[in-house]
Amino acid sequence: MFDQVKGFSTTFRHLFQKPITQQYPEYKRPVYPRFRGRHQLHRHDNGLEKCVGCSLCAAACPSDCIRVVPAENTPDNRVSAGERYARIYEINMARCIFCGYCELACPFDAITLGNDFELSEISREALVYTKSMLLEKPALRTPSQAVDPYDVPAQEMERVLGMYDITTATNPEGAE
Amino acid sequence: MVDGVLATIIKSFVLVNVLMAFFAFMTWVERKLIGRFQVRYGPNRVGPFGLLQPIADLGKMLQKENMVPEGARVKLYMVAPLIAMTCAIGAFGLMPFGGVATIPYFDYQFHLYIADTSVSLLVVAAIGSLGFYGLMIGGWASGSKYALLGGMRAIAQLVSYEVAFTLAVIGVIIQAGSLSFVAISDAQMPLWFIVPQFLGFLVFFVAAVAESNRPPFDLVEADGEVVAGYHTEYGGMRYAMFAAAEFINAITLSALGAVLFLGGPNGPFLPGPLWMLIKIGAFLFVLIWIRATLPRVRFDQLMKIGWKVLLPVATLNLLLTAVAVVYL
Amino acid sequence: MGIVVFFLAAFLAIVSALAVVSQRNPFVSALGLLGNLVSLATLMLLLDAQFVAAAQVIVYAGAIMVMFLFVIAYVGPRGEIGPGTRKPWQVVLAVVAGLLVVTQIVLVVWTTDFGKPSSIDDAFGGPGAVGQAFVTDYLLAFEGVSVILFMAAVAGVILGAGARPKRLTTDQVLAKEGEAEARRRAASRAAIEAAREAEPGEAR
Repeated sequence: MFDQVKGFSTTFRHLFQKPITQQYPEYKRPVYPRFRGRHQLHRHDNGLEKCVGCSLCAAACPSDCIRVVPAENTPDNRVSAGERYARIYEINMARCIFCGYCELACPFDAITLGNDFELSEISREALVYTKSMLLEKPALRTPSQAVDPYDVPAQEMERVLGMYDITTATNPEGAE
Repeated sequence: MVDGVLATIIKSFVLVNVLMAFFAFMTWVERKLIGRFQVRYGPNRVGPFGLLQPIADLGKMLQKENMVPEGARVKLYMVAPLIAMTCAIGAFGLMPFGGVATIPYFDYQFHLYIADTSVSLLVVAAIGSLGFYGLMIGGWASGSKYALLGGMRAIAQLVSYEVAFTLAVIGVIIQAGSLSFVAISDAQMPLWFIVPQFLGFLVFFVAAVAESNRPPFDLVEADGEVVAGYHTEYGGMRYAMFAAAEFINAITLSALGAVLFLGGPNGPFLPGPLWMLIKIGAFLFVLIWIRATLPRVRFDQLMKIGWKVLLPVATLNLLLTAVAVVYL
Repeated sequence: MGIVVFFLAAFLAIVSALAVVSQRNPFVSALGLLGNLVSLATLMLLLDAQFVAAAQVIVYAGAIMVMFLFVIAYVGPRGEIGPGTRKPWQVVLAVVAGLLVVTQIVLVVWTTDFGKPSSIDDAFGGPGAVGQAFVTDYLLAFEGVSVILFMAAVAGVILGAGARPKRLTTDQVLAKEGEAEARRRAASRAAIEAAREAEPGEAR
């Protein structure tokens, strides 16, 4: 019977503790280093795209959301570093499950999944990302942790060097 | 009429508006307090500290579709929330908020309650009993099996706890010697009834939580249940009226508890209405505290508590009070 | 003010009483009875019988009618009652009973002197006066009614819950099953024995 009363004292004590809520838009929790967010198509250093339109990513995708239409690289229009390039490359973000299989399947390291997860749109058409959109860097930078939290020796190194406070993400100022 | 027709109409108008505003404010208070009890902020986006949240909720309710289900009896379906609301607010007409007040410049005296009869307590109980019909008619007239069963369950719960509730209150009546609220409040000047009537207060409190369908006794209409009981088929503003009627019921029972056990509007320094506000606020705080702490009670456990625990304790309290009043 | 309330309550009482007898759906008919009770309570308030009015609403309208509506909603007829269920002898009986009641009312109203109202004091309809009457003048009736109510409650419990079959424990169930199995085995063994007895006799 007294356990009931102890329950009441627990909730009453909570009244005087600082809430542990993280206020989202003002504070964005840093994501893990291997976080799978928005896709990113990459270029070589000389400006040519890495993607050759082989559509292995489309074949690997479990949700069937990548559309690749290749075209030949002509001498006066050389887009990629191979024989052909992806003329149309679209990913339907509404179907994508962000599994990362496309990243694993690509033999040229052309597509990776980055950190951006703030992808809300107000129409379904706007969620079909075209190649030009995917080539660009995301508009907002999502903070990420420098070191994988599960890599214990590296974490120790970070802590000792005092470069980062990784263990708890604190709430600098809430909306309260 | 205590003060004449015009004054009564003005007082009623003021009371209804204050009550509805208080209800809206209390939804904000409840969400913030429950948040704090759960180590989180409540709503804090809509206005400063989320104060405009009730207005946002009102806007949301207003723009929802007011549909009538196909198998429903339309007139009864539409009248059920009205019955619930009318009876919930009507019981507040008898609550005392003080004695006589004077408007200084015009030298006009009026009483700080709308009505006081010699049987105020019984009238409040009567109006509360009529309020149950809103639930029952709503459940039956929705034309849906879930609503009917939910409505019947709700009524079974309410009627069961009404017995223990009335017995607990009778203990207070015996000790005060009158059924009128003003007399009961004045009889508590030396010592609030919560002290001699402690058993009665416990029974009253548990029965009041069950009577207002608040957690942990909210199985028939809880947020986490799959089907919403008697207000399953209600949407938009009609659902808001049911929710308002239920919460105003809780406020009425808190006011009743404040008058019967905590001395009503009597208190040392502050004016009557302020004391009533403080006491009702204390009751509501405890109600919200209980909501944040206890898990929901299953329906058969609920019935067991009402009949097998509360009723004997209330009867015992009645016996002890009667013996004490007659022989001491 | 009192006149207005009186006529309003009387009108509502008559309308709801008509609704009780004329509505096809039993639930709506019971709701009409509820309206009738509330109107009667108002009329009682006008007659200074506050305690009886409040008690009527709490007990009759608030609890007994709820039980009525429970029963009608759960085990009542689904939908409306058609006109085909009326029997001729019921109509005759209803007319005769109605005429009797009307005659009674007319007689009472005719022979009553409405001239001077009787004098009542302030505490007339209050709980104190009613309580006094219960424990002094009408004590026997009060106690008798309480005994009857108690009998009704006990009868309700016995009729409703007394017919439950006795629940067996697991061991008892297993024992019963074992008994049945043993009986079956014994019966088949006896049949085999009887066949073996009969066989050598037949083969011979």
